[in-house]
Amino acid sequence: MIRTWLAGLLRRQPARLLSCAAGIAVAVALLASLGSFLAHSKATMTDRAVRSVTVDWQVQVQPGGDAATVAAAVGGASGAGAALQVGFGQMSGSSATTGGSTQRTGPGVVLGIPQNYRTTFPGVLRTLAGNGTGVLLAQQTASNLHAAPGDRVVIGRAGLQPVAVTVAGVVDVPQADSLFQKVGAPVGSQPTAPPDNVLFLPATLWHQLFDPLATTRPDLVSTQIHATRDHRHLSQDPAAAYTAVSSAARNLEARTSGAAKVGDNLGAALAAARQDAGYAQVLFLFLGLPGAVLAGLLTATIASAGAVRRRREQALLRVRGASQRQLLTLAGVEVAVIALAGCAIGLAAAAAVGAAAFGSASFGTTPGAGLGWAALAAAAGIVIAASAILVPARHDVRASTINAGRAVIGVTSYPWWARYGMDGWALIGAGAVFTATSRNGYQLVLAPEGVPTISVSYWAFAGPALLWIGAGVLIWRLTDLGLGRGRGLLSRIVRPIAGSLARPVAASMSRQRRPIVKGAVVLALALTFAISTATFNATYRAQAEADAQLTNGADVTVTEPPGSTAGRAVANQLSGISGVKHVEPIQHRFAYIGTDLQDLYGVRPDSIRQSTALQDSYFSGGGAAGLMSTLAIRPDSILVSAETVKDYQLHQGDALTLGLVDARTRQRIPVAFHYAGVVSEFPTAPKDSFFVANASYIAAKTGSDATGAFLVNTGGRDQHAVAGRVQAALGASVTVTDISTVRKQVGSSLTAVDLAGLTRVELGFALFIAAAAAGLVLGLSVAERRRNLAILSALGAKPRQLRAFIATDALVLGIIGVVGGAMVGWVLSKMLVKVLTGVFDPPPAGLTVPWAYILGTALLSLAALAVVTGVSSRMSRRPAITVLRRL
Amino acid sequence: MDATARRIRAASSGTTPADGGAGQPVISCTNIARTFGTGAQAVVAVYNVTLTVAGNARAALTGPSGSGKSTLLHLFAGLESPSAGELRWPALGGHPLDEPGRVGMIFQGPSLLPALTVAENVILPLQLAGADLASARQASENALAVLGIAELASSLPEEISGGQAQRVAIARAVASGPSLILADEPTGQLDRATASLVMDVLLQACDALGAALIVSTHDPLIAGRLPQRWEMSDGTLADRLGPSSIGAPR
Amino acid sequence: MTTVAPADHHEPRTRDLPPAIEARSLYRFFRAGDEETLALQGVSLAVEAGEFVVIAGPSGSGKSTLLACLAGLDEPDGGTVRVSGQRLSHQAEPVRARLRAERVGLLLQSGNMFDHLSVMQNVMLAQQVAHRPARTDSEALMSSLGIAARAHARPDELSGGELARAGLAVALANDPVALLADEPTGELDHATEQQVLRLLELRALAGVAIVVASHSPAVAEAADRVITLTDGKVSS
Repeated sequence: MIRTWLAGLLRRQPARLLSCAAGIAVAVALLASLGSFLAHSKATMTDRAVRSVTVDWQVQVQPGGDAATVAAAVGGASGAGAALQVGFGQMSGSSATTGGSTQRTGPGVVLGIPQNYRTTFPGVLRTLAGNGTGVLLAQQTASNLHAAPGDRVVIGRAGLQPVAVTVAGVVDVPQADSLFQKVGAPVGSQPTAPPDNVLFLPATLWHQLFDPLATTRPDLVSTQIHATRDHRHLSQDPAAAYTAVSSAARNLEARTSGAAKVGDNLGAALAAARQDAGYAQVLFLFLGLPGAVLAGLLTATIASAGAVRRRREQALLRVRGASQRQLLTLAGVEVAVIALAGCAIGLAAAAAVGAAAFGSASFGTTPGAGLGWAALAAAAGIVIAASAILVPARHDVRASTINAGRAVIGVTSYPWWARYGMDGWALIGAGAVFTATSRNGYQLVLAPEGVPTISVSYWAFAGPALLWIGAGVLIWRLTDLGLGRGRGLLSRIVRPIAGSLARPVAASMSRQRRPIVKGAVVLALALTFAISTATFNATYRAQAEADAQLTNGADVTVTEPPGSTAGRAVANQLSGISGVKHVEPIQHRFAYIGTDLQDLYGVRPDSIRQSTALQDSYFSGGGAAGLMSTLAIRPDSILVSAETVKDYQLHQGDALTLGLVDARTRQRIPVAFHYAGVVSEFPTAPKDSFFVANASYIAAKTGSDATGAFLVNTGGRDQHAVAGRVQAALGASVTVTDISTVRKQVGSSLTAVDLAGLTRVELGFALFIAAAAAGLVLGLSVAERRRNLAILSALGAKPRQLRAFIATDALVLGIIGVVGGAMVGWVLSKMLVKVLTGVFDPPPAGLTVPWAYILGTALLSLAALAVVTGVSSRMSRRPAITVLRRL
Repeated sequence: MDATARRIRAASSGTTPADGGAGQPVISCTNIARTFGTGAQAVVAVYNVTLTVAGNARAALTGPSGSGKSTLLHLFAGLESPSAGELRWPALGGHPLDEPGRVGMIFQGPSLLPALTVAENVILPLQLAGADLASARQASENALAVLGIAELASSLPEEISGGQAQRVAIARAVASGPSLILADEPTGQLDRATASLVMDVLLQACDALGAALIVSTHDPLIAGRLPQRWEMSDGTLADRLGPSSIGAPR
Repeated sequence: MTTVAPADHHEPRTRDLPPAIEARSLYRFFRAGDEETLALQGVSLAVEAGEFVVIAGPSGSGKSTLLACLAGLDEPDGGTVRVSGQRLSHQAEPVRARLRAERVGLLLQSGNMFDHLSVMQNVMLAQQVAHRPARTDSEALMSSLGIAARAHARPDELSGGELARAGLAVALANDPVALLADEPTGELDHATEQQVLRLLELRALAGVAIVVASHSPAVAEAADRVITLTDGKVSS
């Protein structure tokens, strides 16, 4: 029986099977593509996390522990690479005599590094001047001591004679925070800033200097084992990698019986990455699932075109006495064929998309996960096929007799899902979930330090999901009501197209409104998907850009070496470089508030916005423009971080006196400011507390207009090239960074690469689904009226008049689809951006609307409607002979 | 569309157009043929038909299933074009699709637009032909009254019986005051009594309009109601019975 | 059929074998809004094996409703239908389906075949649904109906007469006790109609009970017995 049926289906009606399979293929391809996005982005996150770490493990040898034993244990730990001993010694102070004057510093740290340290851990130190070996001075220390390679620096040792060493080079310590961490201390009790004074000595020299100290003052000397780990066998999933690394660390601590404490830098980086991975998963759910559901809806629409035929076949089978099992078996055969073909096409398409967008055709981080994703996507395809075909078949099978229940014109009873105010309840539910999420501070992903599992609040997805459902049903209800009750209004709307036929056109549309209503909902939801996805992605991209700009300050940022006073000359030189549109100097000083030292940025309030975009969200107590004009009008105004406001109980207008260094006397002098507002973020500023004030006021009070950095506007173009020219013009003493390079480095690893791939995949699918939905729903509604059109044609309707009948369908579909889609899309975009606040850094002030894409999608959908109108009215011009025969 | 409007007014006021159509023939065809498909699969539906239909013809087109009756009627209605031969409508002044309302076609099966009421179904072709709503409405009311189904005006097609639907189709065909009425098996789905009734009203309407009438049927009783009979077989006219003055070969 | 009907002692028996198909005081209402129409008002009939009965009557007299009730496609509001003694009405649909598959053949005016299957496949499918798979049977059946030459043609490639004979082959595929036909010759010309009637008469001679609903006088002439329905009642 099955063979007979299947043979007939395959041989005679491949088109009918293929059209349904195509719909399923879209859903499967979307899901599998997103799975491949997820897999790829997880792998990238792991990779970036691993690469961001300069020293994987810093193992602190505990007092009483033997360094050599611990080093051996570290080297022998599973997955271990190289392990080197590094000595940490506290110095009481240092001094250097240069150019006739002697500079002194406070206490600091002297590290003893083995010869091969810099080749084993290449990222720890960066040579700024002089040699890469020998005695190395950290940049800040060099600046404090006014020392350069060749100078001699005296190191003070508690209770011992100071010793002098000759500086061989000046280095930068990019990850000083992690290098000078207090190993084993919780995040809260870590030092707020790395030590200001740091020297690096060759291990042998260090031992000469600090072994004596270790015997007299063992509390001032310690040893760390710095270790690399084998990254090749690390899982590509950040969560799994984190678990593996952190358990290896704990294992080491246990095996050395307390002699070693592991500073697990790699684990900490992976912990952050697994949080990002959690968000990637959430993004998949929020942005991917609606698309798949939509593709399913589209498939159901395609399948419903064959519903009459399928119903007839089923009735005939029942006439022949087929049992329920036989009926469902035969329907199941069709579902199986469609699902199989749909899944095969979909997975192949997804592999192609994956290869094109992510450079990988795999669906998962491991072969197992890949199979899992393929299976999940395929399962979704099967569910869609089954619910589009098997569920209606089952419904018919359940009808008590074959003659019971035939669809007729003018059926206006509501389907179950439109009764009981479903739309209202769903929308209320969406609002409730949204409110609950916002109470939670939109923290959808929680990855507590040290806890192996992360928690993802998937239930927050219920908000957008309910909004989808509620909006869909609401559009359905309103359209049904409008077309049913508003026949007069409808005939007025269609009059421009239908002319004198407006009344019969409106009447016929009104009485046979259900296909149009269904089509309008599908089209509106497809546009909603396109709009909300595109808006979310655009907002996300804009925020990633803001993040990069916040970090880098401007298109190109030039940072001068400490103590440089050549500000004005450099500014002039910069203005002359080709590609430079505007140069904005920023003063960078340090200011004491009480005993606390904070960064102080002096800006020119009138012109700063020409080089960098100040977002309103950086400030509170006023917008960016407002606060800058306050700084201009009252030059002694100052913007303060929220923490400082809290710590010092500041109120708007309060006087605030800071300690600044006078350039003429080199003495600290009090400078009076007035507190004018709160600043939380500022270009080039650190994440913690800092001040922003008027540059000319600071210059006047301190007697120096020395700048710290220049923000260069290149008009958003050729940043990398301009940066190269700037570096060439100013020499190696200044640091030049450009935003395009920074963009690749900053923020969560979610930001830069992966969302671009997701965006391409999603926007492509959204565009396709919207246009396909438009063409398909109109095409199907025309197909349902093929007989009517044939009658009309036989009655003498002119091509123009036939077109009027079809074009009015297109008009109503277009209006409801576009208006409904725009409205729901806007609300949904707002909701998505709010609920997914966690992926944004900094949170956006408003939506960034990608007008070009949205207009393009709307136009393409309308074009699809126009094309289908044109083609089908051309086809109806001569009544189909087969249709005429049946009249 | 002045001419159409005039005809519709004439039809709605119940007066017969003066010319009666006896002068010029409504259809004149010479050796027309209609084939479907090409090559080996080609099916010849109508072959070598030469015929003139006078303005007051009352003819039955008979023959077994598949003999080409429907195709010939579709050709006469201008819904299909002949593959060969010459087909003209002298009394109409042009092709039926360019002169809407001049040829009324009644189909075998249900051919009412399901989403329109009975009255709207009758009005629509008049509007398609360019008549204004008021006169179209008047013509529709008259036609429904003549066929005795005025009380069905606001019903939907699904709410009326098959016999009633066929009468609505006739009302729709006659409302525009056509010169030629073509009916394809108009009683095929009806029982004998209803069929006879439908033929009565069809003949009355044609008499009132002075229109020519061609009815295809395989029911000898229906064919017997008409003075001429054209027998079709294998796509061509096999035999012509009855007075030759009305449908004479050229 | 070899299945023996369970003895029913409440019903008076006139013969040893129950009639092939039997209806007792069937009632059927249809409701459309507030209006109620009586399609069947106490119709009783019994058709023996080998009998050829025509149900005649004008459109809307209840012929199609009666036939649907006899075939178990519709459920009467009152009365019972029995097929070779087994109750078909007021049974669960699976039971009705099984009885239909085993004992009833149905020939409709049109749409007897699946468009995507050949004549042979249509016949085989009907046999398989009734759990009677026998390829030789289906070939013999098609030969006896003169359609064997077109076994591999699709329904839309058949002429009107061929389509009627192929439909008959499908209706007879399960070797039914009773063959019910609704206007089987409605779309056929006189000559083809006669061919189909001869085939139905042959089946009756082979012992099948034939019930045909038709308003065609030619069909009525071929019948052993004509039952005329008027307004849902047997008028003769």
